[in-house]
Amino acid sequence: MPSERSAGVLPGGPGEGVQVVIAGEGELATQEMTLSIGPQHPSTHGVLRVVLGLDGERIASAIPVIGYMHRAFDKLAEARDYRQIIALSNRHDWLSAFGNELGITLAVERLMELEVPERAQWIRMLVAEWNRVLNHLMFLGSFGLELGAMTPMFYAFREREDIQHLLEAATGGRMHFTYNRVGGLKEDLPRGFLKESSDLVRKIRHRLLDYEGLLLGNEIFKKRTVSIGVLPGEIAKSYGVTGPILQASGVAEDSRKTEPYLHYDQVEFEVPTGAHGDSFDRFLVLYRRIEESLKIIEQVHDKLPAGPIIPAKMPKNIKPPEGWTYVRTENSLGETGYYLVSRGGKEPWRLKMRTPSFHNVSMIPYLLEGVLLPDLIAVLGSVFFVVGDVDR
Amino acid sequence: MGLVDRFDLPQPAKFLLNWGRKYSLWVMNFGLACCAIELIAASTSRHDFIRLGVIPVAHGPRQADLLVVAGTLTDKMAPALKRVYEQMPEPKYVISFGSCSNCGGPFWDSYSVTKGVDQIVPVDVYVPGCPPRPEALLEGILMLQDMIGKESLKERFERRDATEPKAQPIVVGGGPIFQTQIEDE
Amino acid sequence: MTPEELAKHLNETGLFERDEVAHGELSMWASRDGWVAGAEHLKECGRCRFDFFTFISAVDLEDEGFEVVCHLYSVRRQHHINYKTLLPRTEPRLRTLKGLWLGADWGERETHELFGIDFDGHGDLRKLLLPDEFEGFPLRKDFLLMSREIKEWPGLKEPEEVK
Repeated sequence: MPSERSAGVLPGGPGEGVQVVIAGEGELATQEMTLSIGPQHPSTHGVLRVVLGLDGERIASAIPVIGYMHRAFDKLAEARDYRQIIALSNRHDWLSAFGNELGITLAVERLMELEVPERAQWIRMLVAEWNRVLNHLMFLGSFGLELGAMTPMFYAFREREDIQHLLEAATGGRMHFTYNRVGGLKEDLPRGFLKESSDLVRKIRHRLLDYEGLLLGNEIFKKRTVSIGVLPGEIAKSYGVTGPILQASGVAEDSRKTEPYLHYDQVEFEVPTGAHGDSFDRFLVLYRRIEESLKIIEQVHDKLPAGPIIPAKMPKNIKPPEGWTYVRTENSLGETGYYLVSRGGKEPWRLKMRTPSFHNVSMIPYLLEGVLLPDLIAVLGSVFFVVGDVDR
Repeated sequence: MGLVDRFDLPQPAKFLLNWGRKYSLWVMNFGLACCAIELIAASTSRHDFIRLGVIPVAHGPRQADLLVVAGTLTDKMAPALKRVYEQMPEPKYVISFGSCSNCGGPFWDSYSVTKGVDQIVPVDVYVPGCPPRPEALLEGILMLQDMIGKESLKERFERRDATEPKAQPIVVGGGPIFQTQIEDE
Repeated sequence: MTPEELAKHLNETGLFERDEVAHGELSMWASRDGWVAGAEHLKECGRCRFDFFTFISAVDLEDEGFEVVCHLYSVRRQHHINYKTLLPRTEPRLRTLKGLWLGADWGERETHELFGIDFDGHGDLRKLLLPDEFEGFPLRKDFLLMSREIKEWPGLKEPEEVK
């Protein structure tokens, strides 16, 4: 470079032997730096590694490296029968475990053309919606924590403990419920459950106002998330992104509305959508979905019929007939689907778990391009994923 | 290092030093999977392990003395765990939380899961469960504190020196530390 | 459109080999060489409009080969399709769908590392889920789970049968 001057070798002392070159005005040569974030990092939601190519403070490329939680569900499912698969599938989207089980039981029931009793279907809806609230509360808390707000995290866990206590009374588990069985449920709800459930709905609805005050109206939160990390709807659809992220990008696609399973067509609720597709909209959609879920839970309380929860004559070994099916459910993070190929045995021939987090994480390279490094956490925190779901 | 680890101290001094150490553990959260959520639940207000002296969360392994491995360890992640464990200064303790880190758990036949964290790092306390209740973690911490109370630091450092080589400094560009020549390109 | 109407419309185009409707769902098979042409029709045709990429994976059918399954959905028309093709076991190669749907990128990488199916034109079939040193294709039927081979799982027998 022409206007370069060499200051020569500094004499004596530290730095002796170091050549110092002074570049002219505006001629600083920059180099792209590679920064690997993770897999063990306090900010990412689990073991996700993101390799960033940084040009100064701006992210030029972001490549997620996944597979640190790959536990081979597809292969293990081929060696287990359906009850064991239900117990194993829980461990993937661990924040709302019931949703994972539900898809498998619906797939097997569709292949076997089983009639699931009414009461079981309504209770399944109830527990699934409570799971949705559990999951969304966790993301409300952790998004705040990543941006520096510690209080919502503790409030979120306070709510989660109450809900987990309620669900433990019915299912026996705090996190991995294994409550579904092919054909219905494991056992009926305990006495007093509905009263506690409706008390809890009222309590949570009242406490949600705390989050609104702490985060949604907060100037710092808004400044850090509005117009950051915009995802257009067409790109989201092409990637296969679902759930609150897709709804925040303006596409009102929700399996509970378009292809109602269980009895979602008999309850009234809305699908909140966002206008801009930025991080703030994703958070807002998440927040509104909690309110909609609480509405559904109250309606289920009113409409819950009496009756059995599993058909009287269920075979001991479940053997669905030969065939294939794809069943999708609207799990908390998006569309969880199971592609089941059965050859009549008590184990599936092929069970593919289609998870929402896999596709949500695959669009991170698109989302993070051009984003400033300080905004990295605001964007990554708004991409809702659970690593067990990404890697299966 | 000092007197503490070279000589066998008299019992009252040992008791006092162990007492100080066991009630001021700083935990490094190596939460991998579902057990991490129960670990975080154990650190929040209802179960609260901070009342046992264990402070959540250390900012990095260099500042921690307790490592809680919670969740399934896969073969791809194992080198990262080893690296984090090696960065922790002595005396350090490891709690294996959950059945996946104890022995592989429900994924015992998977091709990509390390069946047990004790293949990678030495474990002091195993907490079983899938996932274990936060109360189980509290019990595990109490057990660990009992173990620390009876511990002898001299034996610990002797064991460490026998098995691990002295740490070598890492020099940019290779070579010994005295001959560094930074050339400009 | 209902699965039957969709099957009728797609059969008329001549790009697909056969169809099957079961449990209210439609599967269409294309030949290996017509994979991309059929996919382009599914995406661009006004009556189909499959703009949502659900997943791509494969099924190991042992002697018959590998069946690649690509599930698509249309947000506007609200219908699904399972788009499939059969590959011989000795030569599992297929053209990539990366140019049509962005989600095919990672889906094909995963299918490649788990089954060993090559996707021509993808260009970046690195390992996604498995560690780089992993050898073999785990989801093929001839890849055995070693833990089960070495020792039989004790729960296979009922407690009364175990002496």
